[in-house]
Amino acid sequence: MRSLPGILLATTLVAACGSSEPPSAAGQPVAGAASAASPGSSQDVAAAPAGSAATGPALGGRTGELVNPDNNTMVFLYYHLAGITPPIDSWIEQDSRVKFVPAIEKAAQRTAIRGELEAGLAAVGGVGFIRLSLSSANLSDYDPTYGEFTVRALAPSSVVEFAGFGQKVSLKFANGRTAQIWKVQPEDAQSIRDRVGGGRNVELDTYLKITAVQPGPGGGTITTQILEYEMQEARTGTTIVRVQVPQ
Amino acid sequence: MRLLQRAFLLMAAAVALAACGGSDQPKPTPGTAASARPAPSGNASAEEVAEEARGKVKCPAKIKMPKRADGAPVDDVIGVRPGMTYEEAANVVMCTNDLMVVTGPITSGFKIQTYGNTVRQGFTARLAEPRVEKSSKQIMKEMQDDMIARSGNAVRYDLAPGQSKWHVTTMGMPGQEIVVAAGREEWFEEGRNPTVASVSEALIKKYGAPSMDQDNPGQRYMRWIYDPLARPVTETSPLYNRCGGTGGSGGVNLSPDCGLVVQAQLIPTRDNPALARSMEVGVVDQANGYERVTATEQSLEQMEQQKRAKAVEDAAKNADAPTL
Repeated sequence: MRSLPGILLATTLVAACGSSEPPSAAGQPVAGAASAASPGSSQDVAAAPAGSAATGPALGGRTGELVNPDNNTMVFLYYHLAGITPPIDSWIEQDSRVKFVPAIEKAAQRTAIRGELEAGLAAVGGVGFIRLSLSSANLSDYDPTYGEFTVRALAPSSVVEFAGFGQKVSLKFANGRTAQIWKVQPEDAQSIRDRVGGGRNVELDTYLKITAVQPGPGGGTITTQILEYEMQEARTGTTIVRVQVPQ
Repeated sequence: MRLLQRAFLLMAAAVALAACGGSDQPKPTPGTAASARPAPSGNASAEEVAEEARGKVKCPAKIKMPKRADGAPVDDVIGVRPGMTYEEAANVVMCTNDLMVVTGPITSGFKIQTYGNTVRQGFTARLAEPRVEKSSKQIMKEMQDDMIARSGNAVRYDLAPGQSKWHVTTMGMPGQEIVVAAGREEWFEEGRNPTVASVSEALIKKYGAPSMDQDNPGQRYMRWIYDPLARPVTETSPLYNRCGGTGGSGGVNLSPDCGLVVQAQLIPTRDNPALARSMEVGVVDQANGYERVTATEQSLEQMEQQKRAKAVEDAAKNADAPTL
């Protein structure tokens, strides 16, 4: 039998840092922004109330919401969603406040840290929605063929990663294929291009509904549906567009 | 917190032996060279070699996969389409030529944790060649010639005029693998070379106007790119330079951001750039392929977890207690 060519897998990761801060003060809606979004695939809206009836409850009837959760909170949330018992004892022993204190203080530290962890786990109990700010929308240039910009931070390949307690939790967008498309009329496109400066200076606030969780080795994946997003100019904080993504 | 744009970059690289499958390997596809049978020996013509390797092959191949929807992008290479089963694709490939022999399955490549399961990740195929029993003297001379050629950096082509080869990439749970990508390379017979223009016209007739068409010295390069919504990608799209195709030697990029990509490469003859020496055409369904790889990986992981949980459950019932 002759040898066969195999295939080598390599993974290319293009990383961009996301802000852990909530969005800066919401800017004034910009004139022209309302007409910038085509009603075909998305439309401008006023900020929708959290967990509005239109969105319905998330995975397992969850209605709670997290705003820019930190790494550890996302690990808590993953364990809660996946229904996996978190290894709290192990986390406590790995905590530097236990590891590097004199033996006589360890017992008290363990008790304190256990309290923190249990409170953190309890806090994510009913969470089904996440508000997440990203430092870059990774906005493409305008594509006149289809009359649209692409919000590449929402692309199907986008993954927001959270690492805590030795676990890695990935957050993905189930509807990125359509949500990434921002329809803009040709007559509005140039003014937007002028404002966003090649798409580098655009921040993104998203409102996400948790739809699935997938456990994996060393962590797991939380899949979300993008319900809404808002793009802002990074320098001035002014809103470029608010979009409600058709579900 | 980090935002990652991720794409699987898959390149043909490793070498695997076809006969290294374990006992849990999926049943060999009838008519493929991997079917368990004693290695034939003795001189044989190409027809005899093909007959030995192919066994019974029914042509035209019976395909259960639904036909392409009206208006959908053309997505086949001589009938091989993403979404076909491994067996269907192998059958179609063998039906392209009476001498075409499929070799496989390829069981490595995508770096996924299979937990000991055999996932058929594709196959290759090429025309059978006459088998000639060589004397030790002949073998030594060939080795010597090879060594001299290597030391002189001689160009060695994988195909000779009149030959063709395939590389089909598949993915899925064991026994349920489907085609993700397929590529074919053909070297035209000497003296019967078509013009580069006629080949490119034929490609355009079949696949439509290409998204990318580069007529460079030494090669004509064409690509038909679609986004995951099956819309043709034009040069103003952010996907224009991001979605690559495949060819007869395999190797594919799979990104959930890209859809179907058909790619063709025409190489002119050395003496006359208007005549085509060879043609390579490949198709890959990137978004669905990416989903397939991810889903397979997840299913294998779940299967393993269930197996482990069952083992623990059984151990709790049946295992001996330690003697302390």
